[in-house]
Amino acid sequence: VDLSDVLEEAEQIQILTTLSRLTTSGTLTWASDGAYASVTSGGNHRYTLSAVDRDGEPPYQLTIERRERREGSRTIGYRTIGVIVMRQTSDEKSNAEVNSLLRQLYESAFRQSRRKISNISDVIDELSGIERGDIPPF
Amino acid sequence: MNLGDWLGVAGLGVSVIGFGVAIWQLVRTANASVATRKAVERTERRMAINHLLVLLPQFRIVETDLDRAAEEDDRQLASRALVSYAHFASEAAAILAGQANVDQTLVAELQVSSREASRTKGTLIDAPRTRNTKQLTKDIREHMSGLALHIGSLSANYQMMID
Repeated sequence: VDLSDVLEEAEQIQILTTLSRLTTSGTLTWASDGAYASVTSGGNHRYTLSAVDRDGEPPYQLTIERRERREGSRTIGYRTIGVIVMRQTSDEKSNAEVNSLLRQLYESAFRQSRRKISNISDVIDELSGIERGDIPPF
Repeated sequence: MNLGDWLGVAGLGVSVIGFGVAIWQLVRTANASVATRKAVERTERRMAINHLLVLLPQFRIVETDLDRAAEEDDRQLASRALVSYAHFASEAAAILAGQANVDQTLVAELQVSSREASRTKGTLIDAPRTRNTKQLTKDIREHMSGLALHIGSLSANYQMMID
């Protein structure tokens, strides 16, 4: 079932803006899910950002899934409740703001889920050491 | 020589013959495994060539689709053609990389063009309407035209190998 038309434009913008804010503040943490997808969850929902053609390039999409529970608290699976996808600007349903927000969120989540702070600080420390002359440049 | 000595000599003879037979069997087994390995390699090569013979003609179809999309300023068609081309080029490069006597420059060119096709497809999504599909796909179409001759001759060569 195509769920890309379930959400209103205003709802899409609100969801993407809130997710961006939560990502920037570090409240939500994204993890890599294969080469070109990132996933995070909060409360009863899971969010997956992926490249539609699995090549790391636009169009990107956000899939929103609701956690399904049995009587107790055990999760038995996830059910997709909505999809937000970038559309061609030539498409009647296209929305430049949604496209732009989705692109920014995909890039932020991709960076956040792949970067290792310790590795980056090692590189910066080492370069500073070379600059100060403490570490030989070879 | 008494009977015991004769039996000893006979035992030695049997041992020597036994060793000979064992060595002969080992040589046969080694030869058989070499022949099996060669047969497997031949089959793998044949399968790769068959795969290429199915794959290579798709290049012309995708190229035609992309040219039509450019002429008709159809971004949807261009996008689909570019995704198809990116898959084609990366798959063809992977198969060709494992073949002997293949120009590795062609393999590298296919890999580069695959990435270029994906990136171009990405820009089609929200490029301003003032830029038409012909302009947006100009570089990748030129790159594909440059590869067309190589792909065509490769296809003909593999066809001759099969015939």
